[in-house]
Amino acid sequence: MTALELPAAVPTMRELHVGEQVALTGTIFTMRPAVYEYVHDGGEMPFLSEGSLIYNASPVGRKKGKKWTIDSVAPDHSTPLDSMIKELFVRFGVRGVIGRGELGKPSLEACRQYTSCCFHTIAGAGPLLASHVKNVNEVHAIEKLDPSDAVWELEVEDFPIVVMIDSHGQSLHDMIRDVSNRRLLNLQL
Amino acid sequence: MSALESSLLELIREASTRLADDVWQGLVSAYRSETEDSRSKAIMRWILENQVTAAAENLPITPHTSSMHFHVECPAGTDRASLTEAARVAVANATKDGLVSQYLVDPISGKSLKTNVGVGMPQVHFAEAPSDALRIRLLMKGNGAEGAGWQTVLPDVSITAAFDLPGVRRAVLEALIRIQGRGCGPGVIGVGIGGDRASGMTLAHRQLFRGIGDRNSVRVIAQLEKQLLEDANNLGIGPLGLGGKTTLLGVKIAAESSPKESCYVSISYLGWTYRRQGVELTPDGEIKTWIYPRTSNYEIPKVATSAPKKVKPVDTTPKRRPRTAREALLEDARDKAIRTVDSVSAAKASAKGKKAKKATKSATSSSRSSTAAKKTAAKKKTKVAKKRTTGKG
Repeated sequence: MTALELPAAVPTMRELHVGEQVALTGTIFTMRPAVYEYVHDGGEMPFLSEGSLIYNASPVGRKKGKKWTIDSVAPDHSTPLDSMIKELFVRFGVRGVIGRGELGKPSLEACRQYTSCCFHTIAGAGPLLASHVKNVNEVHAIEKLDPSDAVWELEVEDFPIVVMIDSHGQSLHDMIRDVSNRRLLNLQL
Repeated sequence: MSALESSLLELIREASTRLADDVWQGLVSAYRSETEDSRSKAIMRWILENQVTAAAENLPITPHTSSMHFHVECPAGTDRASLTEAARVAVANATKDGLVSQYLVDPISGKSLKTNVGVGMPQVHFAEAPSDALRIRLLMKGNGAEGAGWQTVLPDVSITAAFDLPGVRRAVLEALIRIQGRGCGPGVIGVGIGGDRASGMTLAHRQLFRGIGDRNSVRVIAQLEKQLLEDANNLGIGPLGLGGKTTLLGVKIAAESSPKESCYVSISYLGWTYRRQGVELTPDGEIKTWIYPRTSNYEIPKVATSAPKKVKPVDTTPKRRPRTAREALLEDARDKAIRTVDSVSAAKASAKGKKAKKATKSATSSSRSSTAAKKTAAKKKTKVAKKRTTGKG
């Protein structure tokens, strides 16, 4: 398992390869389709800095006094957001997106061009992933959006992720698809 | 809240926070079977750890939901409307308690339905019970699992599947190739053969209520289930579709009568977040028993190595029929010819080798003499230099 600390520098991202298990430590930001569309329409994200990571997820949390705690934070499908991921790299210097599901050509090209990665985390495993969140720093745009749609700034420790697309133009899903197709042919139906 | 409503809320709580024993054991054996130190093993471990965390903190194993199905078996004359109403109240309360995320919207206006209660949702299906027991089963599906469902009509030329059992096998494998890791794999695939579009899908869906280790009572279908499970786990798709041995925990097939021109093959999928449980209720609406055995203690096995399989050594020597007299004669003659050619060429090569050795010897001796000459020349030069310096001093 490789350890990755945020903010991520370009040379670090270049060293990550497809299929590698990574333990992530640092600050990540959750984003939902509504926020992606806001960015697409030219909206600003002042809290995002170069080398940060985006997590496609809808957290379930509770507010105790002024402090938010988190119960569950399972990943969302990245697939519908495929065409909009590049904008995050271009405009805010984001170095990666965590989610679930397959990503196609647009993300593959964007990762190669901007030395970034797309990651896969454990689909459905809300409580486990929440146990790796050490602190909720802030919940941005909560006054405008539903709590699950807002941008949660999460401080994570040893957050388990797998490299799905690396900066060298390789996609784990493409590889597995090739393997499974070949094995299907070998079954000689 | 009435006794029935609170029993149904308890059913939702149990289904969403604790995997039934058969599912847990299925996941544990999948964890055991994965290769040591592999990515798939790590993923299976994370999946097991998720259940341990969820059970310890009484949290749902996943909040993501896209549909809830109640299947009720009730004696004749049961008040079905009040049962449906109780299910709706229980779902609204479960949403309030955070067991289910807010997932339901009105598709026309796009407005979210805060309580997850809407037109036709949650779904409540009724069937006449064989005895006078009241049994309610619940299945909760996430968005990925529901989206992974598929349907085709045999014969299907595009996937070269005929209207027969091998055709069904081909269609199910095609579905798995399409699903890859979507819907929180590894999971269980429910297959409905025959019927029409709607009834086939319902049949497939109902198969997900069967136990993980369950086999169809019809021998041919049971064989197909076994075969497909083996096939699926040989595809290399693995947990979450990120590669590995366990693509599926189970294959559950059932068949309905079919029109003779075309056979529908319907597929319903449910991933490792297998939120399925059932209760038998007393006439007052209290919980009598749980239908699916519960696990008292979720424990991840420490020594996760599966017993190494004994593999028979494979005989790799090619099997040939005995030679005929003519073949033997020809082959022996050929071998002899090759041997003589080899010996001649070897002799030539050795002769060449001797010559070459001589040449290298002379070359090394000459080089030695040349280095000696250089050394003496260098000595002379230094002497001259010393003389010059002494002269100046």
